[in-house]
Amino acid sequence: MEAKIENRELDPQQSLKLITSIINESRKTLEKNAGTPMILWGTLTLITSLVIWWLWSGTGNPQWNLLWLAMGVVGYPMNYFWMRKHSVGARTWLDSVLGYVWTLFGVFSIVLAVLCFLWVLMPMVALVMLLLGFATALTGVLTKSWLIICAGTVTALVGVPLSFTLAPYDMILLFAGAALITLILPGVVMNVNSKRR
Amino acid sequence: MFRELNPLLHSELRLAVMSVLIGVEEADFTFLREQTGATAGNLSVQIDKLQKAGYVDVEKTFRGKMPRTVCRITSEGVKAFEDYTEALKSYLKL
Repeated sequence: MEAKIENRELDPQQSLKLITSIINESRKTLEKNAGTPMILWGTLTLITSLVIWWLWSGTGNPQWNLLWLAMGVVGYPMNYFWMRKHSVGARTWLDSVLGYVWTLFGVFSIVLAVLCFLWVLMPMVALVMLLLGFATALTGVLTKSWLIICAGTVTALVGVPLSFTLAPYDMILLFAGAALITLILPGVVMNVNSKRR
Repeated sequence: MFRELNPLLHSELRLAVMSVLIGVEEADFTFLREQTGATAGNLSVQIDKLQKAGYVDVEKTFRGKMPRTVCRITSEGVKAFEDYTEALKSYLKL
């Protein structure tokens, strides 16, 4: 807010102008860098999936998939410190709801991974693609972004059938593609749009 | 017929604080100060008035070792804000 606000009384016109201006300014501040956590997680997922694909296809050992756990170990502290350093000092209902959506995505993915690790037969990659697509599309609905809704829908519609046709180690590349489409691209678009506004 | 404007909200800084809080789940003192451009002392006094009226909840916490004051609008505050904007419409014939 440029002008200093004092304790003076306002006429109705000024009151309405003040309310509009404050709400718009707050929204601008809250939207600043809102896409960066998505870029962070997208980049981590992209790098991790490419590393696992390279190691798995080179050695034939699927146990390289345990590196997904390392992504969480690196990602959560990074996310925490980034949020702490760049926190604007306010949280909206949307922030909380999106936090719950993506935390649930993480929990469900971990549960699926544990079940697969315990040799329960299920198409894990297809299910994670479906979850990822759903979480992304829901993010798009909540943020009113058609780009993000489309990214989530495409991930589910393309990722699930492809996961049944690719070699096991090549399926990991689906995660790299999904990270690019569902996290990095929308994150960049969100940041660019907030800067434009 | 003009509706009466709530005198507690009909002050520039208190209205600004309520306008910030209506759009967020919670905001800390620093955010409110940045958004309103008010001095810390003045803002503190006005938040205290809003708290006493039951429009705002104030929680003192810590972020690491730094003290942090977090403010949230109450349901009573939301109602007061809505009534205030409705009253404004009667003046502006909206």
